[in-house]
Amino acid sequence: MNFMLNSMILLSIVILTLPLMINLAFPHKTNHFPAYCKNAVKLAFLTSLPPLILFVYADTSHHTTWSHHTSINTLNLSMSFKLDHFSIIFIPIAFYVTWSILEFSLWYMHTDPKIHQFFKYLITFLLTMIILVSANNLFQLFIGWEGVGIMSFMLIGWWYGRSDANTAALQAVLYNRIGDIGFMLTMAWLMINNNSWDLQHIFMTNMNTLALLGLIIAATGKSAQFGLHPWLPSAMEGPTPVSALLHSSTMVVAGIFLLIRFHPMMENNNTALTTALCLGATTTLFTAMCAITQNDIKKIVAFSTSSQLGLMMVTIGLNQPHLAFLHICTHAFFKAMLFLCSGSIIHSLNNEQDIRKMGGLLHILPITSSALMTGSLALMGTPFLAGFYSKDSIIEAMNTSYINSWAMVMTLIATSLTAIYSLRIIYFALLNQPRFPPMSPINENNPNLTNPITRLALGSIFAAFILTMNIPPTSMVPMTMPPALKLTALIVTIIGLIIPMELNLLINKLPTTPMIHTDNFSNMLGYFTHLFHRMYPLANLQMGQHIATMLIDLNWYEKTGPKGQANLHNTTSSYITSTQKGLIKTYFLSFIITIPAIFAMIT
Amino acid sequence: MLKILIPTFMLIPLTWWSKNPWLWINPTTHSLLISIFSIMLLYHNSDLGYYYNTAFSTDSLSGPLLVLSCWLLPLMMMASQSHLTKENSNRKKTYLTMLITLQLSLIMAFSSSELIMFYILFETTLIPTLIIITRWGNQTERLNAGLYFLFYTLMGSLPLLVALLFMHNNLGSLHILTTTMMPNTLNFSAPNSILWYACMIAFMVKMPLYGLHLWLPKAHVEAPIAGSMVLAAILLKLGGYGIMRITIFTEPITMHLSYPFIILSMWGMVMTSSICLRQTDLKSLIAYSSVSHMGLVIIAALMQSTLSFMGATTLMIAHGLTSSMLFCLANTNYERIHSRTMILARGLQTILPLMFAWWLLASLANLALPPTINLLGELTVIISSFSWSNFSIILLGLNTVITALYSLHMLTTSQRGKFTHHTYPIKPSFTREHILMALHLIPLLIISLNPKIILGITY
Amino acid sequence: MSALRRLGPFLREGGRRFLEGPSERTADCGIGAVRYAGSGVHIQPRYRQYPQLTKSQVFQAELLSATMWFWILWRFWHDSDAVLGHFPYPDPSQWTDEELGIPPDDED
Repeated sequence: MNFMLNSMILLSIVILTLPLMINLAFPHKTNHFPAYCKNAVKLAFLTSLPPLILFVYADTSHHTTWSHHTSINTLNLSMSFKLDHFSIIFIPIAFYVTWSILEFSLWYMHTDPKIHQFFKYLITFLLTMIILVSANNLFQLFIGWEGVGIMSFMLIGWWYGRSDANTAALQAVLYNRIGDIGFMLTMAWLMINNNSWDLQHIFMTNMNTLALLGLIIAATGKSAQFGLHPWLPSAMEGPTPVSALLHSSTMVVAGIFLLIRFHPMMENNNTALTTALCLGATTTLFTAMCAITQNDIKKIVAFSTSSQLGLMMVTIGLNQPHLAFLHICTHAFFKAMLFLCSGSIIHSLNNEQDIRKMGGLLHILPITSSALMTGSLALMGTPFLAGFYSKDSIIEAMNTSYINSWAMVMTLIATSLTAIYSLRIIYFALLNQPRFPPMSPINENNPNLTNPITRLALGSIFAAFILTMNIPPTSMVPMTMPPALKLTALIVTIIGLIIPMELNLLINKLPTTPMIHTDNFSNMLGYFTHLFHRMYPLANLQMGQHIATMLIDLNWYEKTGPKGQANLHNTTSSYITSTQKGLIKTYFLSFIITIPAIFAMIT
Repeated sequence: MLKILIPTFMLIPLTWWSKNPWLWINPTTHSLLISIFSIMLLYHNSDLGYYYNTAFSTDSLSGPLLVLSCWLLPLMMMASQSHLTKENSNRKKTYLTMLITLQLSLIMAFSSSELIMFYILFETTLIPTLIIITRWGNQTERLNAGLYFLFYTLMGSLPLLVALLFMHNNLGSLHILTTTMMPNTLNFSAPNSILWYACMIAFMVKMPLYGLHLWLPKAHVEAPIAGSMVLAAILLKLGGYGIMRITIFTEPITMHLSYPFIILSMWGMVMTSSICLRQTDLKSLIAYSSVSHMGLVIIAALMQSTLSFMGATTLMIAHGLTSSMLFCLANTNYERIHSRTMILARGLQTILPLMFAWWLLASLANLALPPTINLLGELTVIISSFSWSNFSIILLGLNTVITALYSLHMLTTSQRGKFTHHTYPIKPSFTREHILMALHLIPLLIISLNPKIILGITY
Repeated sequence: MSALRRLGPFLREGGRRFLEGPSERTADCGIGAVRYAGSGVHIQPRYRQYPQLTKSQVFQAELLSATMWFWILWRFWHDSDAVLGHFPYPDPSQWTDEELGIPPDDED
């Protein structure tokens, strides 16, 4: 059975590389290449299903070492795959989501002259993501980790003629690299203290707080936690399929995934857990607050992704990695779908992203609207949809544990804000009268559009149920609690639905919206980007210019070094030459003084 | 060793007796053959290395560097072709002769088994380089650059001569094989410190250490493409190689005296990287990035642990190929735009898509993307400096961030964005240029797949 | 063996068809052709009026929503415990002293 498991998974990875090989071999056969990519991913998904079933029914897990790469002293670097609970479940989900997104891209990117390259990038990204989740040692994980970062750079900057896209791409790499310092710190620490990067070896030993904080920094960068979060909303400059694939369902959860992987090391370290908890709580509340006043539909969804990532981080801090993983899986379905829906809307309204200029789409884009409703409800945690199974459990686990109550309150508020911003999209985009230009190319009758959305919608209805029914939770999840705690998540969400409805009715009667500080705070992303994106780069660039270049290099080093030498020699030699002007008479005259003086001294 | 030296020497008559149409092809193919033959030097089955005769030996530290310098010669010839189209054939031949002479002295410098001979050849490399820079550079500033280049290096290396003669007097021999087996110690005392500084400063200038680096951006910027390539790829590595060779003689004292140098180069890495962020000149940016990367090599070479020596060797080879490739790319831009200013060469991806691929790969290698060998080098250096002091990760980590930033900034500025109207009439990219980039990248890929061959003497 | 060899073209063609997928529909407006949202206009744009939707579109949308609501309600009917709690949570204030093993005050 084991043989079957790992060979099938590896076969699916190999299938994934097929389109890349074909493109290398026949670079000019690009007509059918996008469809080819989509079908390859579909095939990979189907191939990765038997291992999942095997895993569910036989509970097999496996790690396999393929080839020995190199060894430094006693450190072995090898290409090895860890096929356990997390990777076996995540790989089919990633394939499923990617399959849908690739199909959607067939529609969305159809007019792009480089569509085949776009698909190639997406496939490469998926490959690096699979490397990341299935890696059995830190080096291989780092390959995937940086690979997804760079592919995100390439894909955010896909429309490279736009300077916004380029800046956003650079910003993503910058924030990810700051996180990578933490990753390198942990790698260095492990190399020195454990002398191994193999996960099995690491798990047999202990890691201290410093190394764990390194991992948390890494996760902060990659998963856009508070402090390193601004790149995620900026990344919405990329094409919508990219946002759906990278910046909601796969790449951004890599940081959480890393922490889940290293959970055996973290569970006994209270400092690390508390850090993760508070970081997650701050993120989830802050980004949810930013989400409620955004007007760009993609930005709202992006901030909600960030908020959900914060929730996952909270779950890590709660010591419930399996719940965090479950939330990763369920989140992938409905968040990818929300992005696809917004892509459909944006395309139908001639690239209009502002929700204030939408409205009434319920009657015009029925399939998209249904899916958007399903996705939003799932995101809010409506019972028995995808979000419920993970989110409700997370909040129950939080309510029944002895944790920081500040973090708990923050998370609960963020949960109710989830309902607010979801409702806001629905209210502004789907309901009321249309506010878009009368001749919009509205059409959602392309199967390449409707099929992926429907597929993901079905996924966000049923997937979580299937997952939770078949995969027993391996960590303790509290099951008993008073009704008030049990219903907290639901009540908070319902409050979050009712209050904005009332407020909205109220505001409709008001003449104009006055400038309010809270609104500005939320709309301006907490002034975070304004402060940090101006102060720090300015300070750094000025340091580079004024201190490093002008003061030290051009003044100190050059003036004291070569130019100082030249000056010194010039002045001294000019002094010396001024005394030697060939004035024979004067020289002899000086002898008249000196010679008698010497004689006088001798005698 | 003569199997490589004599064919390399015979390249000179080959150049002079080649007919005009064959002027580029003959030396290029033959030097390529030599470099393929030199790959044999990577094979070492004993720890001590090969001793060909009393003068020449190679081991697993000099082997990769030798192969790198042999490999660079055909690449330099390919890269300089269009730079020299307007010269007459005698001048072209002189140019090629200079490159070949440089190559000869480099091969002998890396393979010499005696430190005095190493010193002589170390100095010999200056002459052809100086001629290449001051004769074939593009602007009048080249004379100034040549002056800086020569004086910095000479000023640094004169104390080394004195130190070497002194040590030769004391030890009786400076042969690397015998001295590794002799128990010689240099204890911590004031005169010994002076001796240590005298030994180090030449290599520190050559690397260059931050503070002694002023010659490098000037020389790199003003040199013709082959000069920049060979400077970045190999001549800087003479410094790292020299440090790793000479620290055998200065065993315990290095521990005490290396602190300020390690700190200075860590600080210097951050400073030079931030200078890179503000460069408007493409070649200057790459030159400063070389200074920053060489800072890592200095740290690793002074750290004196097995891991750090591996990192230093790996990083030298990796950086040699990467920076040389970046200079080639900068040169392809220069030949089209006729300016090194970055802002004039925007949006080239639209016009030269394949060039964009090379730019991308070179930038990714420069910022040390994981599977590449650059990462292995940087990571081992970071690990060894982390074990030296935990706080070093702050500066080194900061440096990796800034490195990524300026590499991608360079990529974004030159390749992305809208292209400007003056770039309409530019030449398409040539097959020669693509081959040149591929020949840089293929070795990088190969050693990324199998880093064992360049992990150096401590592997 | 020869029979197997004859299978070759079928496999190759089948594989190609599978991998290329139903792309013939979209192939007609090849890369570079101008296209406005979806391949060609399926619905005639009508000025200042809601576009006439196709029947299947409406049906699919209704089906999707219906599935969702059916699923929610059906699960709620059968599995309401998951939302409301699995069993009535004991109220500690109702516990008697005997149950808790607390001796009466007038003991001893």
